This record gives sequence, C-alpha cells and structure tokens, in this order.
Amino acid sequence: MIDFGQLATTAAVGTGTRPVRPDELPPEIAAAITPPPRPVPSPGEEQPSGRADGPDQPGTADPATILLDAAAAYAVVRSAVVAPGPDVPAVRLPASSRPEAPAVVVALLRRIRAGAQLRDELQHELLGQLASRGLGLPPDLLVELLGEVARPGTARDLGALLDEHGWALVGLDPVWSKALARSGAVAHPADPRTWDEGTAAQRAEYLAALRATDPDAGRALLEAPGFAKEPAEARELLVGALAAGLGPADQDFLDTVLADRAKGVRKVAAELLAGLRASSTVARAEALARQHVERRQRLLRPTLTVVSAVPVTAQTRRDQYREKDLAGTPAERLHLFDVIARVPTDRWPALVGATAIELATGPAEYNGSPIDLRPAFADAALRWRDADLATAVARSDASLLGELLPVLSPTTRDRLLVDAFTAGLAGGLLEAVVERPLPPALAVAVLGALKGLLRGASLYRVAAMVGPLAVHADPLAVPALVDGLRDLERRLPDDAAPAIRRSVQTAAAALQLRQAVSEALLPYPVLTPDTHKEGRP
Amino acid sequence: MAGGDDRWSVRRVDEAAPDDQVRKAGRRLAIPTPWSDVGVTGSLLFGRCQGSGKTPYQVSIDVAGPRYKCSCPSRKFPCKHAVALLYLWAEGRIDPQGVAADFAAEWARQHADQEARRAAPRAGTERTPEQEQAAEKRAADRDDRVDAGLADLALFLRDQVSRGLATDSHHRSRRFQEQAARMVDAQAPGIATRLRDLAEITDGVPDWPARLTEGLGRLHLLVHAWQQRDRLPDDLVATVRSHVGFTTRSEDVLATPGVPDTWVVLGLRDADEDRVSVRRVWLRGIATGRPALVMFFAAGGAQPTSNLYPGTALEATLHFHPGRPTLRAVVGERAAQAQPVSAWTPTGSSVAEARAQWRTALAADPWLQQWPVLVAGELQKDRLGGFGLIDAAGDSAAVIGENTWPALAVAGGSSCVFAGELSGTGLRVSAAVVGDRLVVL
Repeated sequence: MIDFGQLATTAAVGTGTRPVRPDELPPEIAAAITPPPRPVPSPGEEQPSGRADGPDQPGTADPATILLDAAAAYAVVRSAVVAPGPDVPAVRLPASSRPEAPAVVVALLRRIRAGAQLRDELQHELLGQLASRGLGLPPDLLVELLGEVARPGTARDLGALLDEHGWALVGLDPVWSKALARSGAVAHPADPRTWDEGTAAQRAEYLAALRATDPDAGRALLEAPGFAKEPAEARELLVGALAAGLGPADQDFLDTVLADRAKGVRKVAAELLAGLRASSTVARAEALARQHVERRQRLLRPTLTVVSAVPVTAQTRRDQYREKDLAGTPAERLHLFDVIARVPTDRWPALVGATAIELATGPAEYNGSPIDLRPAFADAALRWRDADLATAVARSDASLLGELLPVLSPTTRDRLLVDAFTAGLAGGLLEAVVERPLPPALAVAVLGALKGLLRGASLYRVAAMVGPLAVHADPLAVPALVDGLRDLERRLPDDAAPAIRRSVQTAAAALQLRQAVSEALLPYPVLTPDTHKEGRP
Repeated sequence: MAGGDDRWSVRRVDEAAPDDQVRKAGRRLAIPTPWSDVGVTGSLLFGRCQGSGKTPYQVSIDVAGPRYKCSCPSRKFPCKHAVALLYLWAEGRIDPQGVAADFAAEWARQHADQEARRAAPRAGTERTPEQEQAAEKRAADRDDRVDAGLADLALFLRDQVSRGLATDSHHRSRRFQEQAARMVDAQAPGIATRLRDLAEITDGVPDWPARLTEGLGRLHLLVHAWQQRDRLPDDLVATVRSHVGFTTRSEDVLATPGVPDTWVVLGLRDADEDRVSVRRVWLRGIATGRPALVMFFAAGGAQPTSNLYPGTALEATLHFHPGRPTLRAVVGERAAQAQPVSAWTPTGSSVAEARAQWRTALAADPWLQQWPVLVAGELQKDRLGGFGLIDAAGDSAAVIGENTWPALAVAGGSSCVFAGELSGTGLRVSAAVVGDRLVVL
C-alpha cells in the first residue's frame, strides 16, 4: 500500500522508474480517483469531451495520471486534517496589575517608534514615564518591544514596567528571559558557577555582585591560593571589582596586592587604598602633606600656602604616585598633587590649620613661584565626594566645572552651568551637559550657547547636540526651545547641509512630541515607592 | 462626530498611508508647527499646512469615506499632508469646530453634488445587442484559449511526474516559471500564480517532494475540473473559474441580492501575489453570523488601501461572489461610517465544530486555503515554541502566524473567543474577544 510519503518519493523519482497502480493505493484514495459511472449517452448524443485515457477509464490511465489523481486526493485529505496543538496544558498567566497606558500615549509611542531619529532616546524616556506611573503597554506593543530585548536598553526599560503578567509572559520565552537577565533587568542571584566557569569579565561581575551583599565572602575568593596564578589582566579586573563594598577590612589584602608582579594590578590596589580613610596609604599621604604643605602668614595680605616638591621614594613608587604625565611635569610636582588629592578633605585643618577650600582658592607658592592647586583639590573633592569644596573650586575656575559635575549638588551644578554658558564659558562641556536632564533655565542657556557656536565653523557640532538637547530638556521649556530652534534654523547659513537643517527640525518635532506625552500623562501621578507595586521577580 | 469615539487609531492611519515613504513623511509633519485653521466637524477633517512655498496647502478629509483632498502637487494618495493631519487627529490633538473652513466646506459641497448626480439614473448604459454579441464572443475566445492552455498544462504535469521531479532538478524552477508564462498567455492567471508558487519549492526547501506533489495534485485537479466543467454544478464551475483566474465584475456582484447586517471587521492580511499586492479583510455579520472576505488589490508594489479597519463594525449590505462556499464579497450600500466594536460577545465554536466547518468548506472548494472561524478556548505553548488552542472538551488545534505571542499576552490565563483563519496547518489568529472587548492582534 502506497502512503503519501511513498507517493511523493515516486513523484520525485518518476513514474517512468516506479509506476503506480490504483490497486496499490489505500481504498479511500483509490475510490476518490475512480470517477462515478458516466451517464449513458442518449442515442445520437456525442460522447462528452474529456480525456479518453484519463481516470474516467479506471485501469487504463497512465501511471503519471494515476499519481496526480492520487496526489490531488491526498492533498485535500491532508489539508482537512487540522494540526493539533501541543500536548501541554493551557498557559495560565496571572492577571495584569498595571492598567494600560492611555490610548493617546500609546499612539505617541507608536509614532516615536516609527521615527528614524531620536527613536531610542524618546522611547526610553516614555517607557520610563510609564513605569514610574504604574502603567503598562497594550499586548501587541509589549510583544513588539519584547522582540527587541536583544538591545540592552530596551530590555532594561521593559524590565522596569513589566508586572506579574508581563514577567510570566517573558518566562515563556527563553530568548526574552535570557536577554532580560543579561541586561540586569532581572534581579537574579549571582550564579556561583560563574566564578568557576566564566570569563574574567563575567567573574569580575559576579564578584562585584557578591561584594554588594557579602563583601567578606567576595574578598575571600581573592585571598584563596589560586588568585596569584590568574593572568595579570584577570587579576586587575578582579581586584577592581573590590570597589563594590570597599571597606577597612579590605586594607590588609590590598596592601599585599601592592606588591603584585603586574603594575596594572598594583595601580588598581593603590587607587582603592587611597579611597580608604584609615588606610596606611592615606596615612602616608597625610604625613607627606604635613611635610610639604605649610601656611605662611603675611602682613596685610592673604595667608600664603607654601608647597614643596615631594621626593620620589621607594614608598611613593609602591603607593603608585605618578612619575610622569603627558605635559612633562616633574615627578616631584606630580607627587605633590597626588598627596593633596589623597588627603581626606576634612583633615586639612588638623594638618596645616586651614580648610581645603582656603587652601584651594587662596594664593600658593612652589619654589618661589605661584602655583595653582585647584586641579589637585578638584581631584580630592571628587575622591572624597566633597560638594562644598567642589563648588568652591568650580566657582573659582570654570574650566574645572566639567570634571566636578558628578560631585556637585544638582542645584549648584545647574546654576553654575547656566552662569558659565551665559558668559560664553564652558563651551567644551556642552556635549556632556546635553546628555543629562536639563531643567528649563539650563536648557535655554544650552540653546543660547549652541547659537553662539554658529559663528564658528561648528555647524555639525551644533547639529549633533540639538537632538540630545531636545531629548533631555524639561518639557516645561518646550515653547521657549521650539522658538529658539526656529531662530537657530533661520540663522543657519544658506549653504548649510540639508542634514544640519533637518537635525534642527527633528529636534523641534521631538520636543513637541515630548510635550504631548507630558501633557497626556498629567492625570497619572508618579507613584511613590509605597504605592508602586513591583511585579519583578 | 469624527472628533468623538470614532476617531481613528494611529494604526489605522498607518494603514491608510499608500506607502512607507508617505507614512514617515506624514509622521514628521504631524506636529503643530506647520498647521493652521485645523479642525474637525462631523466627519470632515481639515487644515492648512505650510510647505516650502508661500501658500499653505489646503487639506480636507472626509473620514467617513474616507476621501482625501489636498492642494499639494503630490501624486501619492493620500499625500503626506493628509496623513499628517490624520495622525494629529488620531492622537487627539485636533479639537472639534462648529464650522468647517471655507475650502473644506466647498469641497464637501462639491462632493455632495457629485454623489447626487451619480445617484440619478443614467441613460444609455445598457449594452446594445451588438455589444452583447461581441462580449459573448470575447468570453468564448477566452474559454478556448484557456482550454488550449490547460490541455498543454495537463501534458506538462504528467511529464513532470513521469520523468521524476528530482530529475534535472536544478532546472525545475525554470521549467515551472516558463509554464507559468504560458498560462499568462493562455489567460489563466490563477494557474500561473500557482505554478510560480511551485517554482519557489526548490530542493533546498524542507520536505520538498511532498509539498511539490501536493501542489501538483491540486493543480491537476483544477485542470481536470476545468476540462469537466460541463458536468459540474454551476456554483462549483464558478469556483473553478475563479481559481483559474476569471474575475467577476463588481457591478455584476452588486447586482445580486445582498445580505444586510452589521459586519465586524476581524482582521486583515496583506500579501504580495504575482506583481499585485492583495489585502484580505475578514468580516463577520453580527446578526447572520456569516463570514465574509473582502479583497483589495494594488499594483506596482503599492500597498492596497481599504476602508475596512479591524476592530470596527459597519452597517452595510454585502453582496457575495458566485461560487462555493460563499465567502468573497463586495461591500454595497453602507449606512454610516464604521464604528469601533463594543459589547460584542459572540459565541465561539469548539475546536471540533471549527474543524468541521473547515472540512465542509474544503469539500465544497478543494483549492480553498483557509476558512474564517470563531473558536473559544485557551492558549497553549510548549517548550519548543509550538502554540495551540485547547477548548473546554480538551480538543486542540495548532495556532500559527505572527500574532501568537500578542494573543498569548492578551488571553494567557483565560478562555477567550479567537477570530482567525483555519487551515490544515492550524489557526492563524487575528483578533480575540476578551470579555466584551474585541482586541485586534
């Protein structure tokens, strides 16, 4: 008996090679291809037209026709059988706890996603807004976005707005689950196997995660005998991971690493030790500060800070003090700056009788010549997170403002930036600033600074920054910025490249989109941690 | 009122755009800056859009049609300005106005006049006996051409399976393409499309002997049915003619008795078929429970446009094409603009009932590719990515297509009524009724 598979094989090799006979077919198929008896023609009536040798004459048809007849019958029979579902129970997902975002916002999100420029940035912001308001996505859009979780940014954004229903849905697809886990959107416990089987970077990541919850257990992994046998690059990464949960208990271990055979590893250890207030490294820096920094009272003039060269010694080398830089600064002077940067800023009154702010902003002398100590104190402000010192230094020297942004309080930072841009200073900071949230006054000041750049040959630079400005500006600034961008577009030279003009227009459109989103979300307050229900596993 | 609940969704605006280029340009223009005199009154949407010239373009849209008018020189229809205005409206950024702008009101008046003239009985549209005779001769000539072409095809099919499909298989695709070209010459475009599809089944396609054998079998059956058409019932002959590629004029279909009902649009699917893009729109009558398929076509790579949107319902009379089972239809008189579906709670079939419907339809038309069904059940998913729908009796059908995950996101955990196209490979879902809400997937 020929089943369909054998029939297909016969078709492939040819009925000339392997003929088919009706009696070889299953009776149902054979019956289907055997036509009912023809009506007997009336006397004088002609035989109806048709194939004389077709299946109308069972047994006389050629094997090819028999095969084709059988194939037709099989095709219909096979189509009639509907494929069953998998042999598993029905999927049961928990109900969604997040109401769907309002239709207007969903429509705006679809528009953002359909746009080519600033798509990722605007989408990221909108998804964050939905997450913070406890709103969810309609199913089709959720699935569409889950299809893009290979992009870590999208995965993180989605992770923040999934509820129990969403996470259960994600759990059904291994690709989505893995992508969300990789992106850090899932708070999963560190897998101990990573330590034994992972790459150096994965192991460092594991170590950092472990240190966040159990610093001693993390350090114990490095204190094990095998650590010294790791390749230098791995040792450097792993020691760097101790920055997570760094504390006094790490000091002894890091002191031993200062003698590591690889310079990179020693440097990382020294940097970590320099951040531990009670470390011997800091104590030695304080001792050097006492020797090389002094205050000299002067008649009718501000007190002078007199600093001197810090000689290079075996100990300073061991502590990884700098010995050269790109500018060719003498090692002793670099050592002095490193000492200042390593001394905890609140220790200066005890050491030399003046505050760090007084030392940074007052007059100073080195080998009888004036010296600017503000860069060294800027480093110290960053290391010891001293916002007051950072503010004083930034106010005194706008060129250090960019370096000090991370440690300044938001209000002070924005005020200083507005002042700097309005005064035409700090143009070099624009690229960094437009990538941060911009309150209305700062956004307007940035746009003013961008207009100032039009006078030079910086059109492409301006075009590159209007997009981020539009994405990060506070929606309250939209009307002023849209007007400003129109003005900027008018000021563009006639021969400006179309791409530049288009960037400005795109930025204006993005601003208006953001304003529309912001208005549409007004009725939905941002949830506080108390009211925010987190569905994340 | 167009400004109310019957406002279009953004997805519907997407579908209204003739191509991606216009869609993207429309999105770029959907910002308040270039627009003035914008408003909506009744179903009339209007605005002026400042382009690069001095005079703004005047854009008027009757969303009930929909019909579009823009004073720009674009040959795209609707143009980017109209699409942009629709986006703004869809996003709720256009407020209703009491009075339409002058240009929009004038355009609406002109259209109303045209409609009135069109509705008046037209003289001289009847064919003369000579014209009737010429038309009959043309039809007979075409039948003769198809007769000759299909006789040639029958020999070709027998030759293919006699020598073996694997023989000289690297030239098989070309042979099928050449035969398809002959079918175009023989004025049998439906057959030509089937041959081109078979030409795509190369040796690299998994399970190619089985797929090709099935396809050849169906084609053989169609040729045989055509050759035996004198012995077949009229409705089957109409079906065979339709599969061969004969078209029925919409006027002739509209002249047949219609089926009035409120028709819910349950899904649409676009496909490129042999230089023509086809949009299939699936409907179901609320009172009659009848399924219907309305097809739209576009040539030259353009996307078909239609005025039927999933998730809406329209009161209309549908006229069905001849053939069996009756499914393909043309929209005749429609009472009003389509409205979003609300509070529709259809009863879904069991899997066994849906399967029986499919088999009945397939028995009537062995070349049928899918049949619209409403099935009640819960979704399944296995570890290998297979989806299914299981009903209360534990009977199941595979679920296929790009909407499986959205369907799971909508319905995972509860029993729903799913609308979709059933075929041997499974159910391709297009919408789900959750409670009394129709969710288009």
